[in-house]
Amino acid sequence: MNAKRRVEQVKKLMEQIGLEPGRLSMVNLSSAMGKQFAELMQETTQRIAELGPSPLRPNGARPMEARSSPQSPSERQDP
Amino acid sequence: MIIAEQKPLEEIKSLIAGAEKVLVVGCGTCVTVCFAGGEKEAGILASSLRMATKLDGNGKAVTHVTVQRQCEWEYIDPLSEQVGQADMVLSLGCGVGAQALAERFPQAVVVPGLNTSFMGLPTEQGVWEERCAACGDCILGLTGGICPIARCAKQLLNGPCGGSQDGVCEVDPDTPCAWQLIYDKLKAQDRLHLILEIQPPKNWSAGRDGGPRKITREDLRLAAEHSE
Repeated sequence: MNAKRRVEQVKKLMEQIGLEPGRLSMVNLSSAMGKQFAELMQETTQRIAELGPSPLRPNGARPMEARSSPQSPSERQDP
Repeated sequence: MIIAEQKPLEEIKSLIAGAEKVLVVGCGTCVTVCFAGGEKEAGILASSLRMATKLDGNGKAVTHVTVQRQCEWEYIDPLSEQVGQADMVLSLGCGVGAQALAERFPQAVVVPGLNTSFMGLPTEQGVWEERCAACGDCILGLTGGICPIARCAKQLLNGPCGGSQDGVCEVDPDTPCAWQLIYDKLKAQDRLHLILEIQPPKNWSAGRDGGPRKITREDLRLAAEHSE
């Protein structure tokens, strides 16, 4: 419950900053709900794709090569 | 402690509109405890302002630092270099902290990021209530430890008034009548005789009505700082 309230607070902050709150969402799933997880991920991916690249990125988009060839966790660099 | 809350981001953006380099200064004391202007909030605000101003097309260099206590010289003196490098200082301290920065660094443009609200306490996690009005002439000994100056809408010394209904103040259904609380407390302590004593008009000159206040303790002053 605390996490849910905090996510709502962050969404309000995103709106004030000028970012679309739809880029962030929270759902509760158990480890046995693989199918629902996959569906939610597809919905989320579609929603974010419709919103477009983050306007905070240079030229508004991540380089194509970074998107087409996923890095291993050890290579990943947070923005 | 002093309770404050952050100003809306839009207002803060307009306050820093004329600056390119902004230093957000948090405070590690009261405003940390009430989640308004501590290290975490200073970091979030600085990051929010970097993003918001970038999206507005006039990205600013917003950095942040937090001191243990913004209202004492020795804690803010080490900020001298960082303050000197900034076009503007955005204080996340209370009004005292913001004024301390403005007074210690006369060349710096200091703007407030918080609205300082009152002196109070958290009655539960996430809820803060006013408890003291700093009237300068405490009467808690007569009122069962419940302050009618801070908690009665009319600041009555001989309450309750006719607006007290079922223990609630007419001003706000969420506000308990301070004088009902005082009555209940004194009754429970078998000290109801105190409420029958008529209190004379209060000496308001000890409070804000007497102008800005100052306390001097000669026993604590450093000899070198004496004017004598």
